[in-house]
Amino acid sequence: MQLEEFLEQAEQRAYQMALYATRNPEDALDIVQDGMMKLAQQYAHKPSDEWGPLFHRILQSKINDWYRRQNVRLKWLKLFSVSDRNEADHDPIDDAPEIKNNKPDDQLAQSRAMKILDKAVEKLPQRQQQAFLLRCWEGLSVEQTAAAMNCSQGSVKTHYSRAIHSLREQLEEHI
Amino acid sequence: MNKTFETKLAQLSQQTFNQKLNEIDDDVLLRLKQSRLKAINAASHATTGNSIALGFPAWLSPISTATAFASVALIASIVFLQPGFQPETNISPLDDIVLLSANDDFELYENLDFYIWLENEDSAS
Repeated sequence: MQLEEFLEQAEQRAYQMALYATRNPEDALDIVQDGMMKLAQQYAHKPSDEWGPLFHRILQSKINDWYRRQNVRLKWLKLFSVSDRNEADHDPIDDAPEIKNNKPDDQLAQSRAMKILDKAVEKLPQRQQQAFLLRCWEGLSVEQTAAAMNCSQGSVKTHYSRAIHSLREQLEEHI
Repeated sequence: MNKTFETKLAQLSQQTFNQKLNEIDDDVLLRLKQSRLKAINAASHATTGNSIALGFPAWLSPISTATAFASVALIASIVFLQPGFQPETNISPLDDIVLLSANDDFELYENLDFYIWLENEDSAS
């Protein structure tokens, strides 16, 4: 497989994964671009079957870096903020529970469940989100996920199990 | 129960995420393609032995280093090995330290012109 073919297959999923983490299209694009560049510059010579795990590893590392930078930025913002402007910008409708249709057809119920899942995945803590997406969407094994997340297999199991628990609370009645 | 929920969740996740992929707008797709081509271009430079950072071929680096050393050696030999060349002073780096650390009377140096004039007067008389 050529590197271009690999990246073409991986780029949209990588973008979506970065978008879940950052919730910002520009930041997500930057993360994917940096990831592709690093893979191409440093690992293009590796066998093509190693590109997948390497790309995931790079991507997750870039996402972690993004979180660290955000945390530092947020700390400074909190330090200097005098008023809670977010309160005014916040739309309480976003937090309102979904109104359950008493007679939903299957398609509508499915669509609602997908929306709830989408929001729930967005709100998962970073490491839980990574573990869930890599295991559930990318279909990586515990071992591969641990390699991508640069942590132990035990940690992956813990993060994944917490993610499932959290999603169950929000989704159980919908699926 | 757990397995059933996890299986359903896995199916729902696949549907949700695949739908999200279909919703990615054209502008983002275009920019992803540009990023990909940029990465491929960088990879091709890396594999053909070009220095990506500077844009010079990688083989040029040892040659340029050797040329730089040779130039410095040539200039040094022209300057120091020409006949009749002698260093102006014989002061070693240790002398500098001794001079700098000496606790001398600075007034003497401030009136140096006077002392030179005095010595000339003495020798003239």
